Amino acid sequence: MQRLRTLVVDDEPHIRTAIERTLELLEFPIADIEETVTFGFEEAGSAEEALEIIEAGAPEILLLDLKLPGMSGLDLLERVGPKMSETLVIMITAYASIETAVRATKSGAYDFLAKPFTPEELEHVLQKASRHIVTAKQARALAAEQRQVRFQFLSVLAHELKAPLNAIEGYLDTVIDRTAGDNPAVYEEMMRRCRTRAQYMRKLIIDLLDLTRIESGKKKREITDVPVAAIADLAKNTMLPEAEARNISISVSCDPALVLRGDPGEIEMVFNNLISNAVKYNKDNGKVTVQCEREGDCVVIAVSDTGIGMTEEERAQLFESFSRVKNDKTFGILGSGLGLAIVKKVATIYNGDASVQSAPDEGSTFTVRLHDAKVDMDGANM
Amino acid sequence: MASKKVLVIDDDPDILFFCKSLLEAEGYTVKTAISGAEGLEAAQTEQPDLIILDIMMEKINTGYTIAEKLGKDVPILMFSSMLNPSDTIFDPESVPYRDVISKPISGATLLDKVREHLA
Repeated sequence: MQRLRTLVVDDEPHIRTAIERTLELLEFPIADIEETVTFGFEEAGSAEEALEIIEAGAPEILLLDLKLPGMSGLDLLERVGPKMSETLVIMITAYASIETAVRATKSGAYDFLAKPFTPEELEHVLQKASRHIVTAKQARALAAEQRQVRFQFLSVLAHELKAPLNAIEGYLDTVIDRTAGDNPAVYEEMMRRCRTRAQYMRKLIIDLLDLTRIESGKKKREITDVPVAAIADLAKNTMLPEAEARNISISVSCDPALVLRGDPGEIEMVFNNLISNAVKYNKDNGKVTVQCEREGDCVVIAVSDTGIGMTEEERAQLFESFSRVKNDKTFGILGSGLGLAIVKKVATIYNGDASVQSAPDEGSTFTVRLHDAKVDMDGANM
Repeated sequence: MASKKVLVIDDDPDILFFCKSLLEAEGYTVKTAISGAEGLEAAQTEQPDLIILDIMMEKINTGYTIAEKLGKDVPILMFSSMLNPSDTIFDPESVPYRDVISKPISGATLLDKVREHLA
């Protein structure tokens, strides 16, 4: 229930009283969103009086007579216009000409009401206005929430970018000042770790750019028939050196003729992130299995590993940005914390979804469903 | 006399390795924990003489929560990577930490502070 503050400015007391009577009884449900509005009545007999009320706090609706003794309705609007960015102004006028309507609208009026008006006409105008106010309020709340989400993302991002620098600076400092004793192997290890952290910082930046590009929707997408097996092999080959070093096998089972309508770069991001995770979080001598098949109008990609797996609790926030599972089993495994967020974002663009099944110490299976990308009527890629 | 035992709790494996290398070279016994939960457990089983604790682990204030649970028996040093100490949201009265070390951590500062609080 929302009560909208309504200020009625008219020099004729009987009009103010008539409006008050109508307002008292009014109650509108706002369709689509479950909200009901009522109206709180305030009145002023002159623009000067109204000015005082508005300066103390702008109402949500201003019913304003154009012709007032002293300062006119239009003059009042000019005076307080900037203060009332969230106020809907409804002009009341006895001269219902097109010309008046145009003038009123130019000075910021949302609607106007011709004198004399019936209670039904007043109700109609108020219903339209209140719907506008409630939806505008919702839009503002949503925008504020988005700003908050963006701020939080940036705070976490700053922390994630500082972390590798903190480690690297600490190591360099120690190596230069020789504060870790006489064993040269310790210093060598520190330099190696510096290099690894720098590499992962680069990876974080690349992932971040991928994610932003997908989210902004501004990147020019190249929708073609993507050969899924070829992309899967490409991603497999990228991870092969790391997999072979730990004796992990990667097998891809996919019909070479399988195609998906989509952007090859986006599909590659999915395979790259899933296969890379399946190797990173695997055990030595483990297995990675990639299976792709068509199910109706979508392609299902399943990547299984024989790795460390996850508990249900650890799975909960897995697809969120910068959420990484941290425990003694993931100790020393570096990642940007963005890989699965990217996979999820891509799946969403393809009207699909990303999910995981997992058992601790047995392994995980990530399943991504992607629908063929559609091209909309304007020829733009959707 | 047995060497003093330091427990380092941080979710960054490199910070753990860094602290371990430095403190062991100084003759301390060093235990590490990669999460708040592991840290709490290690504090029980290892009975350290000093705990070094990162403020921001799983969540922004995990470190404070852990510090409050650890209580006042063992001196606690806090790692903070906040740029500005006033950004910290905790009440120093309620959290029983002894000192703050800002990240990036200088090896010399780390050793100084550990020596000071174990003296």
